[in-house]
Amino acid sequence: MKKKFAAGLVTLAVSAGMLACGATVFAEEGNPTIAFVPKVMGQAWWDHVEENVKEWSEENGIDVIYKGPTDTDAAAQVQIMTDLVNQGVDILCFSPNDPDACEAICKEAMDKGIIVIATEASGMENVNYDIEAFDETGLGGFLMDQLAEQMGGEGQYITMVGSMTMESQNNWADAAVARAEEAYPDMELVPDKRVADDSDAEKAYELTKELITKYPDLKGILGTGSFDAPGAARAIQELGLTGKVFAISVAMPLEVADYLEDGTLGSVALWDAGITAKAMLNCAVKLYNGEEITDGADLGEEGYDAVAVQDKVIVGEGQIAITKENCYDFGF
Amino acid sequence: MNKAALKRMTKRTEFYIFLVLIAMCIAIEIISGGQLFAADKIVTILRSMVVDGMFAMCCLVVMISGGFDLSFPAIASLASCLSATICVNFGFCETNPIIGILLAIVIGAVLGMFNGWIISNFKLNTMIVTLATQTFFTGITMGLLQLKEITSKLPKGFRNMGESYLFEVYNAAGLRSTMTSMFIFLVLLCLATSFVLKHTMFGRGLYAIGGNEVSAERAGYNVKRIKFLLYTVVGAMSGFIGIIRVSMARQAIPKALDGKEMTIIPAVILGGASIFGGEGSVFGTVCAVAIITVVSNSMLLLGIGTYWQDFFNGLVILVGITISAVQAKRRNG
Amino acid sequence: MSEYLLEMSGICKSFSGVHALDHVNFAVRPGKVMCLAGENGCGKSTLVKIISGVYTKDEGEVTFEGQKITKITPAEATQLGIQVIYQDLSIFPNLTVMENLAINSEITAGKKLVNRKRWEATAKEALSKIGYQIDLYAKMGELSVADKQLVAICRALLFNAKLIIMDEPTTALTKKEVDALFKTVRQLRDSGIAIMFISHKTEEIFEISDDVCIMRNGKNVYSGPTAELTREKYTYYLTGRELVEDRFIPKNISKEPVLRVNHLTLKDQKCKDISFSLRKGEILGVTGLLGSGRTELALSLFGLEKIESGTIELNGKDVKISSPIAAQKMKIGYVPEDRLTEGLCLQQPIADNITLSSLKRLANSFGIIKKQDIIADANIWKEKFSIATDDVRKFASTLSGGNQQKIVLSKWLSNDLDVLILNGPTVGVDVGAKQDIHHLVHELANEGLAVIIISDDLSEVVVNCSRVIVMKDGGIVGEMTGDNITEENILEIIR
Repeated sequence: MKKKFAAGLVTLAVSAGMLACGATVFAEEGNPTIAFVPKVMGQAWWDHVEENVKEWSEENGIDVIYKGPTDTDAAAQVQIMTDLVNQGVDILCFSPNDPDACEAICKEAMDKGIIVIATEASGMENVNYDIEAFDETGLGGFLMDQLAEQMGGEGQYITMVGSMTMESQNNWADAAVARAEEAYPDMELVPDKRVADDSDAEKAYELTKELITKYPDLKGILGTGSFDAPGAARAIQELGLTGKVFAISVAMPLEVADYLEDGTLGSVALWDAGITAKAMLNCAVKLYNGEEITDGADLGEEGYDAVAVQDKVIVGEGQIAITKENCYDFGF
Repeated sequence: MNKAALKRMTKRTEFYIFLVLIAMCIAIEIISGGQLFAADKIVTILRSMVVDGMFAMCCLVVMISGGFDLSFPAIASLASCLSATICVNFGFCETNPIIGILLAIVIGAVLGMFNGWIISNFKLNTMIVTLATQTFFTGITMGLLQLKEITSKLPKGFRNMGESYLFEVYNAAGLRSTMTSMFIFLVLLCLATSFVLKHTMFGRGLYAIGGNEVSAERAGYNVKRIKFLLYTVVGAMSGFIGIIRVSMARQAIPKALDGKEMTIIPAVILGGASIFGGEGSVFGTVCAVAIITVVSNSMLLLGIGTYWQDFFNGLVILVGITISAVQAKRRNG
Repeated sequence: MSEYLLEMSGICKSFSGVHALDHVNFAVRPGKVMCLAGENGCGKSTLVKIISGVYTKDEGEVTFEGQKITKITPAEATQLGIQVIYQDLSIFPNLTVMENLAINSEITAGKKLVNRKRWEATAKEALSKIGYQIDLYAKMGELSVADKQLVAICRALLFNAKLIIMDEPTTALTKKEVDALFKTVRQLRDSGIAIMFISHKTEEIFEISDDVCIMRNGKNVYSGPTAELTREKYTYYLTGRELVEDRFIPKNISKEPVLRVNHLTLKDQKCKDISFSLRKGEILGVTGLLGSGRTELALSLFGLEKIESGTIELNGKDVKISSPIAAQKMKIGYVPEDRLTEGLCLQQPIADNITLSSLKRLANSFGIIKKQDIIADANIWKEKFSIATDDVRKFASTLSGGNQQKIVLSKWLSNDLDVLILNGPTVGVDVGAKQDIHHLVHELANEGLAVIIISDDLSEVVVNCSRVIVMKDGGIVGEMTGDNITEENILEIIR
């Protein structure tokens, strides 16, 4: 009830804001009107995206309206998208909080001839394209490549996930194991194979200590959830195993910055949503100009120079390694 | 020790829980090939017991008074995350976490007072009340205040407190483990709870109320005031525990404690507290928390797969509750 | 100084306009036992609560030790030396005897910390008051009711009690325990303490009390020495009716027995080689001491005890009664002893309770039951049994014990029965209601029902039964009929 009420308030506030800036929505001759709707405003991750969108806007001389809900609220987001469609934008880029909830408005937009580009929305019907920064195999392999490099390509390792029921995290871990089997014959998955830390860094810390007790020769921990590497690193540091046991996972740069700097962690994996946003905008403009996107197309950004296109999904290789060199570049 | 005293001791749940703990530890030690009774393993287990053990004390005193508190994790989450958020926004606690700790205690106390006020004034079932306030407090955390996860921005003062340690131990392989200083708080809280329960009229009052509330009132206890005070103190302690947890995990995650009550309450019951009130001891509770912690920290050593861990945790809980029910039945004839 | 310890005159108390107490006068003498008697809801407990300071009187005068008392709190009542031992004894089952004894005085003294030595000294002092010995560290909940009661008495004595009020102390006690309690009561009385004893058991009142105060409908109808009161008068005052116990004379006995039990032996020898027969229109009494097998015999006829050998014949046919459901189908009804726990859903409407066992009869061919039918059926029984309620939709818990028993009876009678087994039909029922129930049973028997009454209340057996079986150690030790049935004769065999 409370949530609904809050959502209502947000929607109201946002609609008012839209009305106020509605007047500015008109296209310069030849340039499309572009709107970019993030999942939420005011969070470090999306602030970083906003910066990149602004940068793109200046580089290309095309205005982009950047508007999103103040909360990761599907209803408020749909309301914003509806307003933008009604104002007659030419291109709508967005990252849905709830893909299903966005289908209706996206269909309306496409019927009006608006170009609709989504991200983190695989499976959506009513879009021109959904651009994903990486595919499961790509990220899993990437994590394994990084870990293998640190481990010197040999030794015992184990995988760690937030929970055994999280589909994507487990798929990444599966892909990582597959990559090891294929490329690193000297790496050995220990019998326990996979542990779950309940998405809790404290539990990841305890698990790491227990794993090292049980497997004194354990050399690598391949995590997928964002709590895995920070927790494991704390244990490795405390045990004095820096440089002997290695851990990696997807993680937020600032959270692991200390460990990257003192060498407890060699790197963690992430994808740069800002780059993805730029690729989305490039893709949209190409479509606006009547170009077609085919397998192997170049979307003009690093990791997106030869994208894989399958049906409505475009997959890049946007995963990046976060090291002590670049960990402060993102603001999150 | 005379014969009667010995007989009384063997009648108590605590005694058996202690035996179970010892037997289980020995079994794990043997099965795992001597990996449990190692200094670093023990230090790790003691560390894991800090938060659960402290929560168990809160839960214990409430259960002795014949109540149920389902809201303590929600109070701990709200108090600690709100306190951490305030500290981040105002730049507090960069060196000394004391302001943050006091804030969490005060917030916790206020929330506990709310529980206490409803429970003592309206004489409602405590389980229903705290189930409602649990949802309500979580609603404040997630909906009204929209508290976010604080990880890298967590003030250094909290991190430093969480990282501080009493001593370090090295295992056979030369690996270092540290004994967290937060363990002191667990010891202090256990001693304080034990003292209050055994040696103060307030503590005996909790037992009396749990045994027979009407009689306690007739005997001259101000039941309303005792309950109000109890829930306020438990709220304050929950806030404190929340901030300890934040410091130890180096992150304030509003959802990190969700469902904690579902492992703590059964542990307390396993430790000899009666679901009908009036029974329970610090010693038994500590033993029960130790059992649950040792089990969950030895699953890997025992070769129990991740999928089976919930099964074993559930089993321990089931055994605990069955013991409690059987005892209550025996007591009531 | 007057000869009375406590004098109350013209006490009035009303709750939202209803007079609970209407100009009640009574007095308690020091060193005497005063019984406060009355049926349920007559105002006894209200009066006690005024004395102990829980309630404040509206009108009237209270004098304690010659001093007028206007308003009093429970703590002040304690200070004056007034102690109430409630029916539930106000004990803490989870604490030790020592703690139970000492905790009240510790609280009263405003202590904050626990001093084991002081507690122990206090507890020992309390026990020494009546020379009672018990393990101080035993858990209270593990004691017998009688022991709990003695602990409660000792605790009361710690406060230099001058007046001890005991609220129905004998309810859960065996005869032997009652005797022990009375011994203690006399001991206290002899030491100069006044005892106010609340009870509705006639025999006990005449045994223990020096003075009696009888209340009815918020008024005291008699107060004076017990010696000046006869049992008949006592009953009259209590109920407001002249009660004459009519002895049951069977009028309508069938030729053939409806029930015949042959050499019945139960598992674990709870009953051994029991044989008897029962004809319609008869009331058969089964009596014996606790543990004589009387209850087990009844339960076996209702399918609740395993039969080892022997047969049961119903209307000349051998039957096997495997469960209560089977028994019901064979038209056997059983009304249990503990009507509250075994026979009634207290938090359900009276109507639902009455019709519970006859829902099948009330249902139409689709198995659907109409609410109106239930109410109508219940109202018939309400009239027939004169159940004291204005609305059968009220909860059963709103009724007095006697009326609750009537419901349990009607619940069974609303089905067509051949044999009705009543186990202790009037336990805990006050005199008036007791008589109503007896009359009802007589009527039912004369309408052709075969009744078995199981009771250890000999007067009940004598008045109601046309034939009596006396049991001892699981076997039948005697049988008597007609005028041979007297309390003396039964007692002779039982012992």
